[in-house]
Amino acid sequence: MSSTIEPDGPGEKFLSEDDLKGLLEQWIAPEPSKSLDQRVANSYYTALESGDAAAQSSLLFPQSQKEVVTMKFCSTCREEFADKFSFCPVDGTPLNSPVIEPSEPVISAASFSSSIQPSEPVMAAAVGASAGALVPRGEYHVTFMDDAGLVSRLVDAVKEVAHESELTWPEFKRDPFGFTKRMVVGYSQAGWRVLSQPNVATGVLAALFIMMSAVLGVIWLDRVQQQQAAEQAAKEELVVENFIDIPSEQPTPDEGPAGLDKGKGGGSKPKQEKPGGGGGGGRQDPKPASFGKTPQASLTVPQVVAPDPNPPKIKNPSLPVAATLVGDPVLMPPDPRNLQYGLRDSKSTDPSSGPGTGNGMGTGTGGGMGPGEGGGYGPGRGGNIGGGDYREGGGGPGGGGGGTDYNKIFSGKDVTSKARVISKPEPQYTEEARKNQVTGTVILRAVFTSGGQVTNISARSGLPYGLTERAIAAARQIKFVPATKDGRPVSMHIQLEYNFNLY
Amino acid sequence: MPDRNTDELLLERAGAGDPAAFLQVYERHRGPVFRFSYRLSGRVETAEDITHDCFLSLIRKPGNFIPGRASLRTYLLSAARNLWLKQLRTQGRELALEEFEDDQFIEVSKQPLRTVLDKELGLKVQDAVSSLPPLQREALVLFEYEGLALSEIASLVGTDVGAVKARLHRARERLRSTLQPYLNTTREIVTLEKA
Repeated sequence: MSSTIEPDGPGEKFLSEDDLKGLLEQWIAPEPSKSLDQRVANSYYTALESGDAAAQSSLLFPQSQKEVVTMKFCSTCREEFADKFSFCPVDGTPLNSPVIEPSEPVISAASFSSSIQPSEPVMAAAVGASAGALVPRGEYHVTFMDDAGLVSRLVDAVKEVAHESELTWPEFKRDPFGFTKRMVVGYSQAGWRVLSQPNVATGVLAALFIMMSAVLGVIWLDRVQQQQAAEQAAKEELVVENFIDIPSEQPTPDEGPAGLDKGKGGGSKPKQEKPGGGGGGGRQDPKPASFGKTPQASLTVPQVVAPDPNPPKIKNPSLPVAATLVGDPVLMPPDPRNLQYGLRDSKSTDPSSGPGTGNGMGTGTGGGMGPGEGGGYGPGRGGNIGGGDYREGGGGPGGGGGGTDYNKIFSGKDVTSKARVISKPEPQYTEEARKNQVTGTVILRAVFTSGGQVTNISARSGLPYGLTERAIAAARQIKFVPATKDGRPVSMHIQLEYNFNLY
Repeated sequence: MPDRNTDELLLERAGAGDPAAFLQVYERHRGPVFRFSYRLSGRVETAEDITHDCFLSLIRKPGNFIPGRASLRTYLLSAARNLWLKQLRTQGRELALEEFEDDQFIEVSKQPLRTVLDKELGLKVQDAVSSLPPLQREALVLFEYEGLALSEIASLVGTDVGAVKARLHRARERLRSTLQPYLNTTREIVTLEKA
């Protein structure tokens, strides 16, 4: 039975303690090295020789070694000043550096060897090594550095600068130009002296070069990473739906029906031809025909009911028939406005069919609208629009602006009526996304085709853990009524947003 | 006749310029101070620096050691502890790269099983002790390795005996948890050797 952290009985507890002690004994500390003995011996003898405890080589009190008073010399006033001055307090001249005099204590081998007793083998060996005067002041071992904090050292430096400024301020007030000039010259000379030393200029240039290289390298690396991240993001957002083979020779697109370019062409016929005809009517009303919209026009369906601003009020008609005009529906598109029937250019708002005859509206004759004759609109005869005799118009290239390709995919603002969603199933959360508390919005871009399918789905912004895929799957199941343009079902782009929230 | 070799007298003579007295004091206490510093810091170089500075402080600051208050050994261990804490505060815990030099790795094929396992075990124990919090570590090292009494440890680290006991208890529990697999290993080795 092995011992555990919580032993069962006192015997087991004893065993556990014993085992632990046995394990701890496995960690055997090494013996101190000979170099330590030598260091201690060196330090001790140095202390004895110098007789000044503050000047010892121990690293316990490194700041105490700075207590040696050194002086600086002013070449202008020939006076000496304390080491803390960088400029002469009298005339502002930069002070020369103090001359450092070597003051290393010389430890004689005789004094070492004579004081060592033979009964101390380790230290005797160490001291013997010291007596060889190889390292009379001891080795350099970086141990404990000055532990003054950054703030305290900064405060000291600021105080020193302030004190120096205080000392040099009178000289600056007396001769600011000369003071500044001397300072610039002094600093220039000091800088030149430093740079003119062997290898200093090369070293500074090399350091600058390395530093600039490092900075530029970091900037370059950052840009490369950003570029890669952008490419990666773009790749993640694109979803391949299907591949379409694009033939090298494209068929010439249909020119489509003509537009309404007046004077050149217009109408449903593929060949360019100016439309003609018109219509008129009225119900012998003394008031002028009122303003309103035109009814649906058709060249194939004969007119049964003429437009009337005051239609008979029949409740629940068994055979409701809408008013129509005889004309090209391209030239007279259906007007979706909620208005009574009337003339487009009339200024009368009082509902009236006008003084004409034939049950239409206006001043003409027939079931149409306007001053003409027939079931059309405007001046002219026999129906349709455009003036003159009845003539079906058409347009080819240049006949009216080229027409419209109803097979292309329209944007929402280009269609007559937008697609209307009938059912839109909600996407379900994935288990991983729920565990990871993922919330947010998936934005999809898709096409609602004229045939009622949702195709070309791509994610513009997605969410992790399968939520984007769930949103795409839900988008595929949308049921909708396709958008229409000029009465024809067309495909249109649409943007779908799915919000994923956890409550 | 008073003993001329007490620590206090030797120190007095060392301060007066007798190198032999200083050497005697150093020889007497360098082992415990070095081992203690090594087990706290985990690095030979740091332990040597601490030991060096501890003994130098005896000469440079002789007034700090008051003979009636504690033994010289306690004073030196206390100084070593202070230096180690000071180092922890100022430098933080450094990564000791030299601990992982090649000579530390064990050549399995050339050494007997027991030696190999002992060395590995020693490294594991060192890691486990080094991972203890500083206060628990020093209490454990002083008690288990240096054999100091609880009262001595308490005076050395500046707390009461109860706190030292608590630190020791927590250190042992943590070590048991860490070294539990190796408790069984030592038994198996002993069983193998007996067989």
